[in-house]
Amino acid sequence: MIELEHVSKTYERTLAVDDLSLTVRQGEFFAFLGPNGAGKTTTIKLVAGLLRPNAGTIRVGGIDVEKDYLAAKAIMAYVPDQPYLYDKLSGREFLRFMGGMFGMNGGTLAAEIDLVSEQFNLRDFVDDLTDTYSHGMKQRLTLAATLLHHPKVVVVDEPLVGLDPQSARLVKNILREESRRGTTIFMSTHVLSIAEETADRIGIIRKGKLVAVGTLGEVRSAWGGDGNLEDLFLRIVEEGGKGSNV
Amino acid sequence: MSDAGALLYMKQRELWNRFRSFRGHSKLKIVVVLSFATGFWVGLFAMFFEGFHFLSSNHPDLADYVMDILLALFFLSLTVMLVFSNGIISFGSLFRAKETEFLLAQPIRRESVFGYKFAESILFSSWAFLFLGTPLMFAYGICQGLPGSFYFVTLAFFVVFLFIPAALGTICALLVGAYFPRTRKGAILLALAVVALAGIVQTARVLSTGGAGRLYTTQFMVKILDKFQFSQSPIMPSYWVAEGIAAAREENWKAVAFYFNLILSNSIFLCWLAGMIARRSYFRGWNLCQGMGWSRRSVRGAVLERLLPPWLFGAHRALRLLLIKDFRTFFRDPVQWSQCMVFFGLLGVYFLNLRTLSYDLRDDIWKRMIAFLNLGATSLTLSTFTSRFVYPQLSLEGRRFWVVGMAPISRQSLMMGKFLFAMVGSILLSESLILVSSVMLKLGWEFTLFQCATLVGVCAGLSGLSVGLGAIYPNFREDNPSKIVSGFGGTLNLVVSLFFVTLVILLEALPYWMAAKRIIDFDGQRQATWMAFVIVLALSAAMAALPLYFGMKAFRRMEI
Repeated sequence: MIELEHVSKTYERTLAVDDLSLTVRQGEFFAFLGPNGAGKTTTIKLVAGLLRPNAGTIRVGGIDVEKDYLAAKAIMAYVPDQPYLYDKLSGREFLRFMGGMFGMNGGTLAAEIDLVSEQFNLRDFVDDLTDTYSHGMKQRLTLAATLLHHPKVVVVDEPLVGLDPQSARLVKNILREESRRGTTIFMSTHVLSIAEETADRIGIIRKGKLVAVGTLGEVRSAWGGDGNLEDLFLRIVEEGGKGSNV
Repeated sequence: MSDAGALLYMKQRELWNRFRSFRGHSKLKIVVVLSFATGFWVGLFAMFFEGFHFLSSNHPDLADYVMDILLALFFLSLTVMLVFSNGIISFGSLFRAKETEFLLAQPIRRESVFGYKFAESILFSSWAFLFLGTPLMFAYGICQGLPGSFYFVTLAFFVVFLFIPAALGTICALLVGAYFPRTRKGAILLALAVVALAGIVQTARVLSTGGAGRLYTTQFMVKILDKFQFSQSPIMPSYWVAEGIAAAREENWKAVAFYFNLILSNSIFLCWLAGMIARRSYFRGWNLCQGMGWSRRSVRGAVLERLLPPWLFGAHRALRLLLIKDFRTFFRDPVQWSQCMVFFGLLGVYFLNLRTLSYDLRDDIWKRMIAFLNLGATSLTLSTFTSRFVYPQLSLEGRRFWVVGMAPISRQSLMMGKFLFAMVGSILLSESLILVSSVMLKLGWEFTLFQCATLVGVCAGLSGLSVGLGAIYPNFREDNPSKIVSGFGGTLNLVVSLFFVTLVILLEALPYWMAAKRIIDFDGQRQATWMAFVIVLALSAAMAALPLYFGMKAFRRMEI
């Protein structure tokens, strides 16, 4: 569902993503891990069509993100690490606006808004202005807005930062549920326990290069050891290019 | 829903919600903002009306000629300002804004995002044009007894003309973003420097027209006005508006239609051109600008450490560090110091040319009146400087508050640091200008000292007011200083600053004016001057101390 072929991205003189090739299958929950500045957010922005690669191609649902960005974005949802909301819109108005951009309107949109409000526990505050929301409320509204049009692919950057345990659990469950329904989830995170618990496969990026990819078991056997993901992650990041991809 | 439909729905709901929250604001806030806006508009109207009235009653032979040049100059300066403000606003909103990233991630066309941001930039930067243009139009129309059709035509000219500088500014922003993103600050500075240099050269040319004995005659006026002929070049859009309005004055509808169509067709062409450039280069520019933060920039410098040695601060050493931090931030941000350089630089050029106008040869009363006007101009410029750069300082500290908040220094010290920074900066900038003015006017040391002491009071008053009100009305949610300044506290600060400066100048100039009108004699004038000076010092002390006191009280109680 997501295909990256020899993708590279350079910022001025810095190589942020270095010849990255990766395939994420339909319905797969893929966790993208790496230390700060490794190139996770850049990769996510490339997949979301917010940045143009210097080399390589990216396809989402078989559509080239660069050549046909509108069609690619229509089947995709992107949640950035710092979600943007309009302060002077209520939650419901924001959901209507998002639905409108994805070509939804009328009764279908109203029904979907009611549905996601229920699913994300937004009912109590969905008609309040978003400038009164806490971080957790904002994050839940953003996720609700991105799932409104039933995307085939959800690209999400650090969705659990700053969330209380209750909201974090809610977000995790919903993403897991979406994945079970056939939606592809591409998530970057620093919370290794969440990746360990929910992801079908993981990928570890270091200095722009994908240094490990596979199921947890596959990565373990490729890199050796039987510790938890945290130990494995730290070893892979420290040893970096010495190992090979699965 | 189409792209435009969705964006329109969002904007319409946002505006309605803003209006509703505005209704919920305190009555005092609404009254202050509306009174200031109305007062400003009426003040401009009165000033324009008085000027036009003076011209038509004292120089009826020159009135139309002056009016044509005045209109062309007015629209030319507005064009330059609008190109700059649209360019800067467009650059920020097209390449740096969080909203743009959000919109570009949605399935809407990049051209729609550009169109939406372009429209927003026109609205943001151009309301001031209508706010400044309408009092001019009404003053002129009423003074000349022109029919209702004149106002309608002028307003139509204003609206179609707005698109020309907006499109030019946006095209510049697109090209800088797509082809020179690394040198964007340099490009802005270069453009500013070119405009400032052109202004300085032109000011010097105009000032060199003077000469003893020939001042203020019709011949002198014509000679001066001839120097502004450059504003009447037929290739400039500002000239087309001025000519269109002049044609409406004479009810020459054929010419009105010609100039209107000329402006309209150029507006449409430039908007189309901006759209075409955006189609080719907007996403390229966006892509390049996202990587700008990746390059590291090393800076070194110990000049400030040497200029502010620790022993100077005794027990308050933390103050020294705060001062060094604030000065460094100021000097490393070209937007801040370049604006100061342009405004104070132009004043400096004028002061340096005072002798060209033979002001130094005039009698004492006139020289002192000119000195007071210079003091007024310097203080008013200073008040815009403190309102723009000093007032938002504490609000900007909000997100970094953990740094100073956790340091072993009191909040009072933090505020005193801001106050000292503002005051030292203001004194350095303004006193040098006033010294130049005094030397050029060949004023005695006593009067020079008197003006310098007054200016110290003004600097203290303006700095105390800006820091104090900045603490009473902080806005820790905003990172953009221009948005902090445009809030209630910022508006109040500007209004009170302008009122304070006007009061100081009026109080001190009053005894000299009374002596010139022979209402009081020389001894009376000396006594009145001393009295005015004492009142001004007391007023300045109160203006510095009271806002600082209430600001500190509010700042101590504040939970960030």
